Amino acid sequence: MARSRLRRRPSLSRVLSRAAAFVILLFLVAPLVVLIGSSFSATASVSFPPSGFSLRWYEYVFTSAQWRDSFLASGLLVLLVVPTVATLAALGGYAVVRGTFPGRGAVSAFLLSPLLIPEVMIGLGLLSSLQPLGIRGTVASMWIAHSLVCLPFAMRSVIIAVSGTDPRVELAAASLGASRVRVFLTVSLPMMAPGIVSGAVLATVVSLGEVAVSAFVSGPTTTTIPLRIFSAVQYQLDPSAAAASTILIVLSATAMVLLDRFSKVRIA
Amino acid sequence: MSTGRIEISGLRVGYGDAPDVLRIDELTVEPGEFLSVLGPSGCGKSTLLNTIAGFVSPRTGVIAVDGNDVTVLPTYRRGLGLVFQSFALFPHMSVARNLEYGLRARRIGRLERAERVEQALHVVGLDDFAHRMPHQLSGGQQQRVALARAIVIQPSVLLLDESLSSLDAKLRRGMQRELREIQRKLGTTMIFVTHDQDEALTMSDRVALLAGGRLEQLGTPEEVYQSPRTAFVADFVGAANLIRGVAVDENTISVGSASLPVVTGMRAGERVTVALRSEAVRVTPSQGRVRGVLTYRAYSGDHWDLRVEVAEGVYLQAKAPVGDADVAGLAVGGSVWVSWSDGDLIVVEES
Amino acid sequence: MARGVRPTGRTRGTLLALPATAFLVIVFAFPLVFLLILSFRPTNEYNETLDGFTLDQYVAIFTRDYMSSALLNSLQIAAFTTVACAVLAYPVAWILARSNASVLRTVTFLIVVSPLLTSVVVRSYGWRVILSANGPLNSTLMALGIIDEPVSMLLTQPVVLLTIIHVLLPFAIITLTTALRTIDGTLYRASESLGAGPVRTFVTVTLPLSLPGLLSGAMLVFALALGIYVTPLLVGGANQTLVGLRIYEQVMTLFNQPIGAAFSYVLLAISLVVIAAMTWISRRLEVKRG
Repeated sequence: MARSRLRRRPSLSRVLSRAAAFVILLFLVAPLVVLIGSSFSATASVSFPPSGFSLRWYEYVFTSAQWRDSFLASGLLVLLVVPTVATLAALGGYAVVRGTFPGRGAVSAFLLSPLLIPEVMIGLGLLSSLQPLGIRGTVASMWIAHSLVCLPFAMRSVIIAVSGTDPRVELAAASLGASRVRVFLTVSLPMMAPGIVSGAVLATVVSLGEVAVSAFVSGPTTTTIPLRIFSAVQYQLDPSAAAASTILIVLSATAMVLLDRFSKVRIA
Repeated sequence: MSTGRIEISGLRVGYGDAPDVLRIDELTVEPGEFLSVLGPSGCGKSTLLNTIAGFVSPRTGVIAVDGNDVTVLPTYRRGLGLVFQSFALFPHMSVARNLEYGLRARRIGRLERAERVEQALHVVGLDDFAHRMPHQLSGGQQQRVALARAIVIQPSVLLLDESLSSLDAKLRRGMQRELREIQRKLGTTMIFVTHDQDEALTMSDRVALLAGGRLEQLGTPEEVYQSPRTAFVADFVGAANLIRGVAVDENTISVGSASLPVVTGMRAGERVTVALRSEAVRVTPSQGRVRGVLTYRAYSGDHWDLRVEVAEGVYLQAKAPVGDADVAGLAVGGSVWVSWSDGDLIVVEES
Repeated sequence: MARGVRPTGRTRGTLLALPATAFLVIVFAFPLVFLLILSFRPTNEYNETLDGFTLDQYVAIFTRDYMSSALLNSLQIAAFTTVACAVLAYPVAWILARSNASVLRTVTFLIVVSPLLTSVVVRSYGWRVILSANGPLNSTLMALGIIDEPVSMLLTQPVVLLTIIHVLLPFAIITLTTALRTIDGTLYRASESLGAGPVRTFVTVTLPLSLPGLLSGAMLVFALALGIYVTPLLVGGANQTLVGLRIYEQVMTLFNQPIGAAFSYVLLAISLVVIAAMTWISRRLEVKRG
């Protein structure tokens, strides 16, 4: 509205507040900028500003067998985790919003509760349970760990989406003779699709970056990108980890951009 | 009180794409005056109020309160009182705390604060409400607290932005009377923004009509009603017929293909717009100046609303008192005569 | 002819809720219960878990200096972090909640959200680079003449605190933005019209009305700060007196799971107590408002 464009003179407090905000925002973005910058270093030292400009570390990451294994591991996990989480979240999120069973609120709180438990604890819990079963360090244990961590995010997304749809549309479909299953598949699912998609994207991003829980249950065959970066930062000194980090940032950013694009598509 | 004079000169308010959202060359509000700022939505009346209050900075111009230039002063140093349309009571404070707010900001001591709060509550008739919370109050009560909160700081000028718009009709009429009484008693200058012309006419000492950010007319309610300067004013304040045509001679104008005996005093060939109030138009079954067809008649409790087609595409609205026997017998679709006094014709400018 | 049981009105949705609930019970609830049992198991000198029931692990946590000091220190760090995040969140949240310039809001939003989208290792690594001896921070300080030679910033407590704040600040900003959005904008105008300057308006209007939202953000930040370990490890080394690190070390390098389990439950208990306290305060504030 025209009115909102009419400004008034900036006061001192407003200027100070803005300045503070800019400093804080700089603080927030600094490590990312520095890391991305140092990944282009021409030498083997990790510094910012980078000494020289070169893509050699990206080359290294793309040709190194170890990093390739990590990319495959992360990729495989995303392919396993996202459909799992999307399905569980779609069904569970819908049930928690539209369901009428007793204890619905408790179930809802339970499904979102992993967010409240410290990651060390979740990691240790999985470790101590999966180890006796002999599956610690396998893809299966990582699949479980990532699904557990990503589920609450996807669930929240679905819950918000379903809460925003009109239940009367489903009632109308049912009144026209459609069975419960048919209503769910042809009416409910399409209506909450944007929520499922954004939940899936969130799950992708969370899975790509997951390290705190994974550190407890991973093994040599399941060293994901962040896990390899985790050890590289501690034991290695060259910028290959910086390059890998930048690639990870780009992957996550791409996922978010896709989400933004997709969420503008309306499901009729 | 002899304080509370507001002088505005050379005011231009706007921004890049719309440099003249508001343009007021000269406007003075006298101390103790009740001025209504009236106009349709988007006409700039709220912008004017916000500029006087200090929420909006003008591009050029001077705003002076009692001779002091406040144009560059931030809102909290202008010493004006504001009552908002949404009341804007602090939800986390009691009524008393809300009233005390401005007094605390002025570092007024506890005893004096308590005294003034009590007084202000008495003026608005809410003596026992000091410890209530805003969410416990009705709309009308919240309105009064908002008013009391602005009064308690004893400002020289009170600004009200469509303050009565959210009240229901009956409550609104009551508040109009009360507000006016309070204003008279306190002697505070009041600038009252509204889109309701009845409200403006009944409450004000003077009315300022705004349209498209310009001041169309400034005058007493009588002046604005009886002698509208422009077609806009004539139409906005009170229902008026606007007859637009070309003068044939001093006493006749042609509208479309028809000729009407409308006395304008204009020379032949000149374009002219004439305003004629509905209540000045008399409709009779026989005898009159112009013949026409009655196309509409409705009973409104205290008057009749009528509509007569006097020429192709030319309609005149009329208002007749309920006691008018002629009107009662008219039939829609029938032939009628329309007449008026020459003195009721008002030649207006097109804005 | 019987068709099979059809869900009645009171059980709609149970079937749909089952997969996710079952999944979490198996993968989340059960391990936590197992962990609780584990926390009461004794260990031998090789840190192997034995059968039996004992409170030794819990006792050790509160009596062994190595553990109890970590608890105290983590509580301190978490408290500092929470206060710092609350203060730093306001200027940024204000822009997100109140600014009319959509470009500024979008850019601010992207900057606030981008750390959340990048792995914690990436962010921690970035800080290592910034703080290293040949990093930009040292270079800038030397250029400004504040120090003569590079200072080793890593492995120091203040720096670890700084990076923990960095990790958790976006959460505080996002929750505070939501809280600020709920405040009626006209209240600020009302406050100003009554003669209150920006500082008074902030203290008497903004702060009280945004407090519930701020508290919910603070709860989240505090809980996360108590158990954080990846960032401190990468920036400060494994020797620090922090609970998260101690648990990681006990479990991953010393293979002592029972004490790790006990420590985890102490951590959880403290988190829950603090969350409960903050929730109670928040409720009381809401009641006053009605």
